[in-house]
Amino acid sequence: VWVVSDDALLDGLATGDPDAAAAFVERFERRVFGVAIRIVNDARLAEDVAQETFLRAWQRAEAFDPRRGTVVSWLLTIARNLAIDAVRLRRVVIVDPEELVARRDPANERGPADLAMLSSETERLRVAISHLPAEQARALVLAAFFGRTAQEIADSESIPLGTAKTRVRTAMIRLRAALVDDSEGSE
Amino acid sequence: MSAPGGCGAVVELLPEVALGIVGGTERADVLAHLDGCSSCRETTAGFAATVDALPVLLGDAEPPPGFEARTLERMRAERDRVPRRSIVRRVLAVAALVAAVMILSIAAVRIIDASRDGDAGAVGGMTLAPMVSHGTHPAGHAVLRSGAERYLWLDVDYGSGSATYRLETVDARHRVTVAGAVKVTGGRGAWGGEIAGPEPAMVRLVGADGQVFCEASFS
Repeated sequence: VWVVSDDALLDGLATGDPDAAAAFVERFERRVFGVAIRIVNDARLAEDVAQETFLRAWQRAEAFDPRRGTVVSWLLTIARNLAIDAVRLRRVVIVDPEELVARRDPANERGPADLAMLSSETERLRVAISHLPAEQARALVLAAFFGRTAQEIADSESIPLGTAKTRVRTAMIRLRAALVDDSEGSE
Repeated sequence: MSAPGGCGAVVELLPEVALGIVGGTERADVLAHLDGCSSCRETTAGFAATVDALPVLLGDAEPPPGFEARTLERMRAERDRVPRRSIVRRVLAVAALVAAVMILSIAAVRIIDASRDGDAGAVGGMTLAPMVSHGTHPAGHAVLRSGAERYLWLDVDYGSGSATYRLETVDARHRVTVAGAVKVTGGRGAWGGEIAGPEPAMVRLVGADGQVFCEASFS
């Protein structure tokens, strides 16, 4: 069965083709809504965020540069940014980083390119996060998925600002190293 | 251009910059350093790629029934709205041009008056810069008229939220001056007026939580 690539679907979306738009939304709606609902934790708000994500994708499809990443990561980054904007003013974030980024069966309804990407980059990230100390993982999740600054993390975790910065920085360095080491090792 | 003392003071902030959680003068310092440091730009790009890969970890979730139909309907409505939006934008553009002409006229008269009084005066150029949010997302435009009397005009078009933001200018030495407040309604807002303080290298809108909503660089 011939499967239209993500890039080709995005090209179709950019032209305004209704069939391409429907196929694009159908292919990515579960992933986009997944990002939105897990960050905003409100079904109605998550739908607003997810719809706005697809609108942005359509409006900016021509600006997508495949050299800078995949369609999926581009689209989910839009969703993440919009979701963070939606919850930025919330004072309280109740989050279990392990619950937020653990499990997720990636094998459901994915194309070959997706599965290849998931089996490499995503799994490396998942493993790297699982090996982080809990306080670093939590700081990373608060920063990456809730837009919390180091000062806000320090306040909410009742730790010094320097400690919060160190946790975020160390977590990021370890994740980056996991991706780089593995990609170098596979070459 | 490099940071005083080299990259050391800046490098530690690069993960936070990639995450988009640095604001205020810290962010201005880092961006100024990145302008002239390819090594730190490369490091930041690496962290940014890591951040971009993270949302996939959140996994899938089934959207509510009818989500696809509602989303496509919203896209159709937006497509139909484009011609009207273009007219609105054209009107806004004309209004902006009129405002800019008025600003320039006022400035010119003042400069001429100043010259008559014996003070030196020069008509500086106007610089147009894109406003961006989260590093790359287009968020409007800013126009700076440089010179002895500086004027700034900006329009914001980003997201769908409503809030009032502090308008800050940041000069080449990272000194911050508050120029006013910008009210954004439904993701859109505008501001124009004379600005005090040193020649700005960038302008930015800062939220009540201290986060940079969007910014424009004139350098």
